[in-house]
Amino acid sequence: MKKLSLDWWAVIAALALVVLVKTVNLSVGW
Amino acid sequence: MSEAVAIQRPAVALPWRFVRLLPGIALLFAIGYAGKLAETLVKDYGKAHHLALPNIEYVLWAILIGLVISNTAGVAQIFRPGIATYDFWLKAGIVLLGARFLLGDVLKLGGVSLGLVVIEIGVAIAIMTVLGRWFKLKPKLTSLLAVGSSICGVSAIIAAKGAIEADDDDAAFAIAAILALGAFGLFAYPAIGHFLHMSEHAFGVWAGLAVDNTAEAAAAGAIYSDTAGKVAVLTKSTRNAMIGFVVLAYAVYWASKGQAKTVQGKAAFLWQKFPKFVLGFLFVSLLATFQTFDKAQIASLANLSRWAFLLTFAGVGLKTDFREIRRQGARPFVVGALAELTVTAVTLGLVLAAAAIFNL
Repeated sequence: MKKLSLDWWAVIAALALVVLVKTVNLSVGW
Repeated sequence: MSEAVAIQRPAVALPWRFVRLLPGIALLFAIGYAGKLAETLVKDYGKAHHLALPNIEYVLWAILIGLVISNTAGVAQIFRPGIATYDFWLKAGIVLLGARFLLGDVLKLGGVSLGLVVIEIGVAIAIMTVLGRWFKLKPKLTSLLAVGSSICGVSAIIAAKGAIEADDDDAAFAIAAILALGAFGLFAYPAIGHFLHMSEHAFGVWAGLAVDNTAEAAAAGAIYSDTAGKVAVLTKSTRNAMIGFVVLAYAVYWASKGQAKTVQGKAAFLWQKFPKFVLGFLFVSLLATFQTFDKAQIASLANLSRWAFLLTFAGVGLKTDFREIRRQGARPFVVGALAELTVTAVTLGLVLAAAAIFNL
């Protein structure tokens, strides 16, 4: 399998967080 | 040889590769968080003692702390792999930032930015090439500095380095110069912006156009205001999207001189160099446009993006090493600085004109 670039890993990680926020209402403060 | 390495790797290497990132990531977090605390402490101290202290954003604190560490004590080897992840946090942060943009705004602002970006790239390459000849720099170092100053600093230099087969030393210098010039810009640009009473949008576009490293462009914008930071990232991402075209042009140029491999399959080359996180950003922005998220969810995504940027900004300071510049001598740095100054002035003029025409 071709190695994924850093860009793709960043997109995958961010989208995983988007899914968490959307589905389990993950709440993050600042 | 490579097969033997591949066979040995999987069992031990993968968990170890993650573990060795942890000290550096912890350091990024500690510095970023210290920056956040410093901002709050200064603000609270000013309030308690009725002093009008300047509001120094956590962004600048985090970068300053990182700069001091990397240029005095230095960064121990154990932290280096984790610190290198700052680029990952930057890109993840940009994708998450998409939640704060509606696609219509992206297209409007992106369209204006694209026009300005094309002019900026042309100006930056022309200036850097002329200065490189005047100061008799090595031609490939000039090419790297031109790509770095016209597009996106570090990633563009790395992309171009492979494509034009430049020396490691030249690339290390070009990266150090771009980061150091950007670090200077972090102090100068917001001051100029305030002096000229620039709007948040106009300043964001200017930061995105003039600051070369994506993390520093985001930082310069965020130092000015939250909205300016958002706009700076969008403008810079538009600029980053042009990376393939510029690197391809240089690769074709050096190949025509017989000093680099000929590029086979130009469309594939463009796709390979295209920054994929821009697609992630557009996708999340598309989700936000179709009201996939409620208000609280958008706030959470925006905060996640801020946390990712916090790690990024700490990394920017830690990666900027002024000693690298001393190693190569002042001449290439002066060329870079002169080119940056010109690009800064030209882009400022462009943005002020665009702000008047498009009401930025």
